[in-house]
Amino acid sequence: MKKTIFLFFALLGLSGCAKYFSDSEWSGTYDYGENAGRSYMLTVANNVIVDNLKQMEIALFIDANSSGTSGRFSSTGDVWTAGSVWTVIEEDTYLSGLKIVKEAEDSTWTLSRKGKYPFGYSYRYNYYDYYSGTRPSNYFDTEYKMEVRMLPDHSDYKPADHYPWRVKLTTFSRTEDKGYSSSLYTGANHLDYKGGTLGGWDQCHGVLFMEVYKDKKIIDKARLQLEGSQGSGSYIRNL
Amino acid sequence: MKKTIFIFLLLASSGLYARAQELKHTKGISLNVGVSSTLGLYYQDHYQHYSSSDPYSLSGIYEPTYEISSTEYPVFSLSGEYIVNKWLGVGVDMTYSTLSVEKLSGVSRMNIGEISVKGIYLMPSVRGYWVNKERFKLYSGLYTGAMVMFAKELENSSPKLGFSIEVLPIGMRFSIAGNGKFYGVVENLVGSRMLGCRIGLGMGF
Repeated sequence: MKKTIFLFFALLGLSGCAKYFSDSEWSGTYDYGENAGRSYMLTVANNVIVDNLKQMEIALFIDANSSGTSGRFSSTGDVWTAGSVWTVIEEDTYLSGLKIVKEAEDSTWTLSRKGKYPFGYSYRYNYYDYYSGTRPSNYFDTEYKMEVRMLPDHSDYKPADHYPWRVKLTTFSRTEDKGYSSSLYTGANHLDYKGGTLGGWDQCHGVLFMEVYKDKKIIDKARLQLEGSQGSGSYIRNL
Repeated sequence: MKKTIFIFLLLASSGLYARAQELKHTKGISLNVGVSSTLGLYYQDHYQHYSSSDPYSLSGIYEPTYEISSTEYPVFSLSGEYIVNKWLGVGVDMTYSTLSVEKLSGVSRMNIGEISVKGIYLMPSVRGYWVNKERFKLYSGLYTGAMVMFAKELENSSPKLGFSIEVLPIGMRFSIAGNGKFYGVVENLVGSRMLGCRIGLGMGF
């Protein structure tokens, strides 16, 4: 009997503790707007900045290691030659139509694309084929242009597809449903990335700005600072 | 279950030849109020899905969302009944129910307005009496009919029309005054309108 009573009180105590910890874990105010907005900007960093740089890396790799463009790109010349244009022609990639233009005899390219672009999906890249997952459905008209500059690589380990990059997002506009659209840019700042073909937004370092419009009227502004690791960086709304 | 209902209806209808005139106040009209409306379930089925929560689209982030303010809201009914004989009665209910829905900002999740969802039901009924005395009646029954729901302030807010069915496992009507002329009603209802009880006041004639 005593054992039963003891067990009863022990269980009562444990359940009380469990409730205390579960409650304390969720205490505080959940700022949905902050989390949702941050998530959206990280998606842009991932899908637009990083995924396009991966195409740049792949173009450089193919240019250096094989003849031709492997059916993934059409090109007007060597990717390092000023004036050359490499265009993604692979239909299975969501970046079909992306133009990689070598503007001058330096280490700077311009990446631009206009067309439907799904968000929120991660693509697994390798050099010669694409991951064939479920085709996403949220295609919205997206137009962007970014200037990417290859930075000197001072690291000891220099794999072929992990150049350090500095990105200036000069144009980005996305028109979505229900009258919403967004504009993103790096402004006078920039984003650095050195994650190669396997990295993500968590390897970006720098600043992104966003403006959100509803029926062409601005309804929100935000700034996202990334510091090259997950969980780091700050997001500020209602600028 | 079907067999039970069939036997019950057979027994009830076998009394059709009994003269209803032996009973007093065979016609009645009552005003009822109940709790635990199921209008919220209809609302969720027909309107709730218009609130997007796709975190990868701006509308999923910025569009308002809607949440039912309370799970308890009243159901008002005007009921007419006719006691055919000692065993069987028929009736019709006109019911009105409303619930309040909070409009929440997509970004802050703060309340930015209220929306009223209204439901109107028209439900004929049949009931069988376990006890059918002048001053006290005990019965069970079945309601079937139609309902229409409005939520004008919502996007895609066209009225929704639906089939409605409800079981009355047990109900009672008891005299308050005049030997059943004025009576009270307590009923348990399970179905499309509500999952609970309702009480009412009525007059027989």
